[in-house]
Amino acid sequence: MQDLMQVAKKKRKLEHYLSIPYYLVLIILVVIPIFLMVVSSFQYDNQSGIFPISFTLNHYMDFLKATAFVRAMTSSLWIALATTVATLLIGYPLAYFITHMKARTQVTMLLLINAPMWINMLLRVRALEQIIRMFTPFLIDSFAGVVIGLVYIYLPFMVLPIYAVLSKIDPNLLESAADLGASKTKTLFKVIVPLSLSGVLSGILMVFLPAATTIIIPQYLAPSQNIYMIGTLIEKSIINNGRISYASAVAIVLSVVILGIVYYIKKLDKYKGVNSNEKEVY
Amino acid sequence: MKKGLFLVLLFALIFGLASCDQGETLRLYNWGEYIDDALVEAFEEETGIRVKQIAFDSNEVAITQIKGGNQYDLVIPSDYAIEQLALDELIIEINWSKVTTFNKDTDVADGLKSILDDVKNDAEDSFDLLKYSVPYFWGNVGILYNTETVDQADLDGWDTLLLSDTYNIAFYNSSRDAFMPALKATQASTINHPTVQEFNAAVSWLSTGLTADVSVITDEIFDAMLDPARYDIAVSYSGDANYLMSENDKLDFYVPEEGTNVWVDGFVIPVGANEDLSYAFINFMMDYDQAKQNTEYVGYSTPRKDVFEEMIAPGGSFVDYQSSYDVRINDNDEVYRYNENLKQQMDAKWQEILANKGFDQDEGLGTSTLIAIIGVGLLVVTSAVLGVIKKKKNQI
Amino acid sequence: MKKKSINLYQITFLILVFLFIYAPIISIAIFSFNEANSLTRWSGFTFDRYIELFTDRELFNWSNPRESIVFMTLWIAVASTFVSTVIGTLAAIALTQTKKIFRDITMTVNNIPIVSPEIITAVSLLVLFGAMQIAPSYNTMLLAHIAFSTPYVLITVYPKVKSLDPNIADAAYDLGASPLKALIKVILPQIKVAIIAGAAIAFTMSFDDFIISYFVAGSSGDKNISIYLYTNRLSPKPIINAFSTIILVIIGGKITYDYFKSGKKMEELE
Repeated sequence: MQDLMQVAKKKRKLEHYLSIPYYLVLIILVVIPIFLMVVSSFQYDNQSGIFPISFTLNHYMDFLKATAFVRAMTSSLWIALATTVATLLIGYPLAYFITHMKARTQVTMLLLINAPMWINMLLRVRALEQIIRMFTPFLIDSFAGVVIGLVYIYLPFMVLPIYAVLSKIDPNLLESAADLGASKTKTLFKVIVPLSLSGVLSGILMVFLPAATTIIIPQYLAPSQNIYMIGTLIEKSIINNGRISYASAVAIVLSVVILGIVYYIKKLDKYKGVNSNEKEVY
Repeated sequence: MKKGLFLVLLFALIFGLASCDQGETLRLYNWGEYIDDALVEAFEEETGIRVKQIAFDSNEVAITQIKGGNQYDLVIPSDYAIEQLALDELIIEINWSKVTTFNKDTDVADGLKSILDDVKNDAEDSFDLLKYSVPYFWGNVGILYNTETVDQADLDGWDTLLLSDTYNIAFYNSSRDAFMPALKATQASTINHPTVQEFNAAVSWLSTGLTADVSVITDEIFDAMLDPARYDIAVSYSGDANYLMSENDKLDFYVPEEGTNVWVDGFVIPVGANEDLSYAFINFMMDYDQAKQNTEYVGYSTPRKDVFEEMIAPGGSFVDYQSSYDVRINDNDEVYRYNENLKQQMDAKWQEILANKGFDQDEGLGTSTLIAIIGVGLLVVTSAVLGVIKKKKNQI
Repeated sequence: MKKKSINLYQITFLILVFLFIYAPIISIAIFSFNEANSLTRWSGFTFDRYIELFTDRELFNWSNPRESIVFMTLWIAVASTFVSTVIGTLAAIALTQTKKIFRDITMTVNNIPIVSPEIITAVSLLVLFGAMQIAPSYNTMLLAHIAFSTPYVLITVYPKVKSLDPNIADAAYDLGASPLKALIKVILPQIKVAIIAGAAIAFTMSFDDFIISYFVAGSSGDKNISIYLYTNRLSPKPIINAFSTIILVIIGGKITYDYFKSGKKMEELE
C-alpha cells in the first residue's frame, strides 16, 4: 500500500516538473511582454533599458487628439464590420448548402474551401491584387476593394465554424418542427439560426479582429494610402519612425476598444451548450 | 515510421544549428536598386567575400533599424542621416589612409565639392561629411514629367504638384521628400529650421495637395514611369530621373525655381562592423572602372571627378541628360541637416497627413466616425446595464 | 440522411463563390509561365521562371543554407514546432493534475496570444526584445514563433489528455512502471493524434507567419518567406509566381491525398 502511495506522489511531482518549461515560456514570452508594452506606452520614446525612468501621457494624448488617427481606428472598425457582414452573407448560405450534400462531397467542399488557407496570405493578396488590376482597376484604393480583399482572405474563417455547428444540429429537431406544422422558412429562422448562433459568433470573432488590425491588405490593395488603417499607423510608427512607445500606446487603445467589442459579442452567446457535444475548453 | 520522422527532425535541427561559414560576409544596407549587382558579384568573385544586401526605402527606416540593434558592415544613407548617426555615435570616423582608390582632396567632382564645403563651412552648424563618409552618389530632387501629356506652361514651381485635377500626380513617400517641396512652395526661409507658421503652412499645402487621386510611392516609380507612364508628374530624385529618361524618352526633368534639396549619399561604417570588409568594398566601388560602371547602370551622379566629367562630355553616357546629371546648385538649394525635433515632428505629421488623405478637410471627425464611437459606447453601456439588471433578477 | 437535390440557385451560388476563391490562384499559376517579366502582360510560355527560382541566391542558397530564405523559414518552422509541441504536450499532461483554480488561470492566460490580434502580440514581443537588448535576427524570430505556437499546442492536446481514462495510467504504476516510463509508453501513445494535430497547427502558423516575424526580425536581413514577399511587393517578380505555383502543387497534392484517404474512410464506414 505504501509503495503505491509513494509512486503516486512521485507521479505528481514529475508531472508538476513537466509544466515548468511551459510556464517559463508563458511568463517570459506572453505575460511580461504585455506588461512591458503597457509600461513602455507611458515612457518617452528613444529610451533604453527596462526600467521606467519617466511617466508621460503624451503618446495617448497625441493619438487621441489627432482626429486623423482616431478616424483611422474607426474606419478600421467599419471596414471590419463590412467584412464581417459580407463573410456572413456569403459564408452562412455556403455552410448551409454544404450540410445538405452527400457526405463525401461535403468533405471535398470543405477541403476546397480550406485549401487556400495553406497558401501564404501575401501570395493570395497579391494574386487578388493582380486580378483586380486586370478586370476592375477602379477598386484599387477604395473602401470596397479593401473589404473585398479581407473577405477573400477571411471567408474560410466564417464558413468553418458555422458549418461545424450546423452539421451538429440533430435532424430530429428539424423533423419535429416540420411535424408541428412549421414551414421551411419558419424552421430556418426559428430553429436553425438560433442553434447555429454560437458558430456564427465564433466566426464573427475570427473575422472581425484580424480584419480590423490588418496591415497587409491595405498596403497591397490601397497603395496610395487612401485607406489608412490602424495597423498601418502602428507599422509605420515602428518600422519607419522607431516610435515604439507611441505604437505601444496606440496598440493599447486598440486593445481596449477591441476587448469591449469582444466582451459584448461573447455576452450575446446565450445558446452555448445546447448541442451537447460542445465542451467548454476555455 | 515514427523513428524515421524523429530522425529527420533531428537531422534538420542539427543541420540548421551548424553554421556553414564559408568565408566572410559583408552586410550591405543600401537603397533599393542603387547598385549594379554585376559589380557586387564581381567583388565576390575577386575577393571571396560574400555580400549580403539588405534594402531600405527611406533614411528614416535605415536609422530606425540601425538604432534598433541591427548590425551592418556598410550602410549608404543620406547627408542628414549621416549627421544623425555620427552624433548618436553609431558610425565610426573614416580612416582615409585605408581608402586607396579615391582621394578626398583631389578626386571629388566640383559640384559635390561645393556642397560638402558649404556644409563644412556653415557658420552656425558645421559638419564635415567627409569625416564620416565616403561619397557614393549625389544629386538633387525635382519633378519628372511626361512631355506628351503635360503642358510646359503648367510647370510652375513646386505648386505644379497641386494640379491633381488635371494630371496624375505622385509624391514620394517619405516625410522629408514630402515636406521639402511643401516648405519651398510656401516660401519657408530654410527647410532646416522652419518657424511654426512656416511648418503649418507646409502642412496645409500638403493636405491640400494630397487628394484622393494623388499617389504616394517609393520604388514603384521604376516600373510606373516606363512607357506608358502611369503618372504625368512625379517627385523624383535626379538619378532616378536619369535612369527613367533613358528608358522612356517621353520624360523630362524639371527643377523648380524656388529651390530644392541637394544631397549626397555616402558609405558609412557602423560601430561594430567588420572594417576590413567594409574598406575592401569601398575601395573596390570607388575605383575608376567600377565607379564608371556603377554610375552608368544606376544613373546617379558619381562623386569621382574624372568619371563625372567624362559622363557629361561629348560621347559620355549622360551628355543628353546634363540638366539632371550635372546637378546645378542654385542659391535656393539646400542640404538637409540633422534636427531631431524637426524630424520627429515631420515624421508624425506625415503619417497624420496620409491618414487624412482622401477625407474632406472640414469634416473633422466625420459622421461615420462619430457613429462608430457612439455605437461602441452604446454597446459597452448596454452590456454593462444588462449585466447589472440580470444580476438583480437572479437575486430576486 | 435525406439526400436533398440541389437546385439551380444553389449551384450558381457555389460556382460564383468558388470562382471568386480560385480565380486569383489560377492566375498565379498561369503567370508563372510568363515569358515577359510582367504580371499583367502575357507574352509567351516558358519554364524560365522556375529555373530562375531555384537558382535565386536569396531564396535558395544551396551552398550556404543559412543564407537561404526558404531553408531558414523551414528550419524555424521545424524548430519552433518541435519546441512548442514538446513544451505544450508536457504542460497539457501536467495540467490534468493541477488544482482547478490554477488550471483556470493558466488556461485564461494561455488564451491571450490566441485571441489577441497578431499585431498586438508583435508589438509586445518587440518591446520585450528591445528591453532585453536582444538584436533582431533569426533568433528573435524563433523565440517569437515558440511564443505564439505553444498556446495552440496546449489547447489542442489538453482536451485529449483530459479525456483519457486515468485508470490506465494508474494500472501502469501498479504494474511497477516508473513515472517516466508511464509517460512515454502509456500516456503519449494515447494522445498521439492530438500531438500531431497540435504540431501541424504550430508548423503552419510558423511557416506562413508574417506580422510577428516582420516586427521582430524585420530589417535585420533575416527574412522568412512572408517578409521576402512583402518587401518585394513593389517590384513585380514572376519568380514569386513560380514559387507560389510550386506551393500550390504541393498543397494540391496534399488535398488530393486527403481526399482519397477520407474517401477510403467513408467507404469503410458505409
